[in-house]
Amino acid sequence: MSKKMWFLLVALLISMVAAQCTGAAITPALEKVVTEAAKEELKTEAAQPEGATLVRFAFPALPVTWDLSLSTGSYEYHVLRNVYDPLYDVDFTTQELLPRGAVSHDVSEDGLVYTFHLNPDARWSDGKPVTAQDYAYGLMRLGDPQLAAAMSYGLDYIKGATDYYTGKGPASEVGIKALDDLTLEITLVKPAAFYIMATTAVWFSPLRQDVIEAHPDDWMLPPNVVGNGPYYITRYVPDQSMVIEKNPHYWREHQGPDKVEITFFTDSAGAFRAYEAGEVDYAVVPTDNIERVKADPQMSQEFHLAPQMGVSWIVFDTTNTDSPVSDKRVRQALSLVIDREGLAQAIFKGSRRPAYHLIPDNLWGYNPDAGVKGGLEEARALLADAGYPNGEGWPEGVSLHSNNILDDDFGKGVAEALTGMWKEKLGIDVQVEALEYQASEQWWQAQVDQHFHMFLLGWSADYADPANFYYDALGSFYPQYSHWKNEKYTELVVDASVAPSRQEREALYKEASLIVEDELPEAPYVYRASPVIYRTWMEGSWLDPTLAFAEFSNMIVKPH
Amino acid sequence: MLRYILRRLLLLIPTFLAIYTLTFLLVHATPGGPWNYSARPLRPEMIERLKEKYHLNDPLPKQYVDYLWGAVQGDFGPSYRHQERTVAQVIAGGFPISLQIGLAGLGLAVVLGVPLGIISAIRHNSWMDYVATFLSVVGFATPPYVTAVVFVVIFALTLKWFPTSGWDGLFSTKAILPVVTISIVSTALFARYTRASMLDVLGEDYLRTARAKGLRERPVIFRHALRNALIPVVTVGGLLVTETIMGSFFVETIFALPGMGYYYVESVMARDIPLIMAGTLVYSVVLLLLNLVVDISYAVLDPRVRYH
Repeated sequence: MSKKMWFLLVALLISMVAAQCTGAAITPALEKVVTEAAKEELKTEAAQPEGATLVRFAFPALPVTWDLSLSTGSYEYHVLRNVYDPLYDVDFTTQELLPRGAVSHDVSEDGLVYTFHLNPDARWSDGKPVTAQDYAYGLMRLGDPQLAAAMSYGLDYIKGATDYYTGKGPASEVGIKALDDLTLEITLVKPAAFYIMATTAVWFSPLRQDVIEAHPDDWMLPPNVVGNGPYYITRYVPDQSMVIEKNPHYWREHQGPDKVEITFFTDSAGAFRAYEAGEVDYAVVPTDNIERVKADPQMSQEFHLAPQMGVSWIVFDTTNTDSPVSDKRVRQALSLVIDREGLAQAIFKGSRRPAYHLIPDNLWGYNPDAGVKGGLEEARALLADAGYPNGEGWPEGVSLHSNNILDDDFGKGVAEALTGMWKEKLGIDVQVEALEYQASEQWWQAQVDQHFHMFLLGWSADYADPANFYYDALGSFYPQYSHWKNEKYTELVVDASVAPSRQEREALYKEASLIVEDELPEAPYVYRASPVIYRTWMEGSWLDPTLAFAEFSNMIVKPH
Repeated sequence: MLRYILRRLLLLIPTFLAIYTLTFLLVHATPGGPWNYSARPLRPEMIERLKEKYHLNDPLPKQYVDYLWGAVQGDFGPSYRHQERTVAQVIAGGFPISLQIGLAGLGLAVVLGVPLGIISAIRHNSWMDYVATFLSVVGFATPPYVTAVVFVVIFALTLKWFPTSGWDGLFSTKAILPVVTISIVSTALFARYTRASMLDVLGEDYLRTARAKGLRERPVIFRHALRNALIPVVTVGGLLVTETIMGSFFVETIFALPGMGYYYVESVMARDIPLIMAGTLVYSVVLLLLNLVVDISYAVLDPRVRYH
């Protein structure tokens, strides 16, 4: 027996060793990051003063990339927004512009040339001064056609940028120039009064060309990464954790935590369990836990529905003459009978707010008077007018596409609730086509030049200005899935882009909303929001109102 | 025997090619791509540029050959989902974690399950037997994701004896709950198989002879009965090794362990094509080699088995 048992044990051991050796053989780079980072950890841990404040943060999903130009994810923005500083920031409560990379700017007479005067005190986390060349490099890299960054559309308003990032034009024609170390000049393709708000976006940040060229594969990770923001990355263990600490060279005093430890979880349920066990101080609450959290005396105090500037809506193909939805009366009828409160409660357990308008109600330019008003009677009358009284004559095969996740904003739960309401109240049959997540992403992207009936989508603000909704999302600036075009509407929103005062712009937008909410190329159902939970000692207004990502420098950590 | 082993090893090559081809065809036939549009709208031109960047616009036969040629040299390509690392780095990071947890779980299962089975067999039809059998059935029938969540809620959330998640290496408190969760199904299997096999062996004539010779019960069990009873158990163990080292997607997700089980399933959901291909190839290598080891060990253990 012993010989055979030994043989087995040896065989088992050999397999284990072989697997470990293979692992070690092909991970020199991986180990380097961790070992170097471990050295870094020793260095910075020792320097922590007594009473250093610590916040333990959690991501409900693994990060995709830390490359600022390539990142599109709101989870990574929790870190990137703190490690890099754009030109300006916005005060979350007063909507005032706050100087960050830039202290002031001039706009030319024709509204096309913006000259930014940069902050002479701004420093990178390695002590070097932040220059206009760094900003120019960061923006140009975003548009680098070789990188094929998804967020390159953020450069669209800049002269020559769209051609550059689609590979049709040279870098020299792009209107981004560093006039000297502290002056950045940006030339737009047409005047846009709101453009300064776009400079508060995460991607309007500088990058260090020397670091990126020296470490092309791992410039964004410690120990190579440098940032000009209030924090910098000190430790990173891939897919497990990250530590960011106060940037000692940052030019501005702030009361944020000295250190933030971020743990990456594979799903939101895991992050929430860790929160309940007291292992992390922040988590996104999974939908099926919301009711329990709200009922708990302690957790209900820690629960916040962090608002986002975003709307979820039904996109109609307004030009599909084979579909009843090409008739605006049908679209209005479909929109009128949606029980938005019921939807927000049943599918999202109250973690979304009902949306009756296409613009978020926490953004100026919102017009509460726009849109068709009425209830069941009016809806039925509209449908009858359009030729389908009580649903008679309604064609077969009208479909509503969504993804297959039940509690997703664009998911099957919403789709089935909607088709149920339409069946019950209007007597019409709409089929739900719920595709697997990635398949549905690919499907609706293909609809840019195809005919369809309806699908679920939405829009989240890139920056806090109504132009981002009225013009970028609903106007003709981006590929319009609804295929809707209205000359009067376009005229109004283009005028509003350049109108000199906020009152004038607001008036124009309100007038434009009367058109779009009547024509209803998209029918809104809920406003986006993030159901989050965090400790009561994390005070201050630190969750950004457009996408609910964290600006740790706005946080005030109370003793606890 | 040696010829048998050589032949099996040579057969690995056409097997790999078949697996590679099938996986390649399936991956490219599946609807859905790696890019997420609903978060940020991608202009059609940008999608084209992304496809060019990742060579997804090349004709399929070219992609087939290019990837295979790269893989043979150890270059499994970039990961679409984990963009700071190559696929090789992802696998090298994830595989050891799944392996360590799987093998530790299996080791625990042997240590717990085999004695449980022996006791059940010796005390056949006593209350100990019934309890052990009941536990085995429950352990085997409960899906690992149920056990994992129950353990986390009881031992981590409520009693706070262990952390809820994360990976600090095999010899840390974070590893205890995942290893125990993984071991449960295997423990149940070992217990059942050992019990059945022992019961078979205990009725054999040669044991009656041993007892008639005057041998006490303990050497009868441990020196004579056990070594024969364990043969089927070893076979089951070999099969279980191949299962457990693949890593359980559920256990790894629930305990936030960045292991191969998690990465592999996630790569399919995210359409991370290079990782799907490489993951399949790596699993195939390991599984086929381990099957070979199990088959050989079976021959070594049981002199009646001969290979040509």
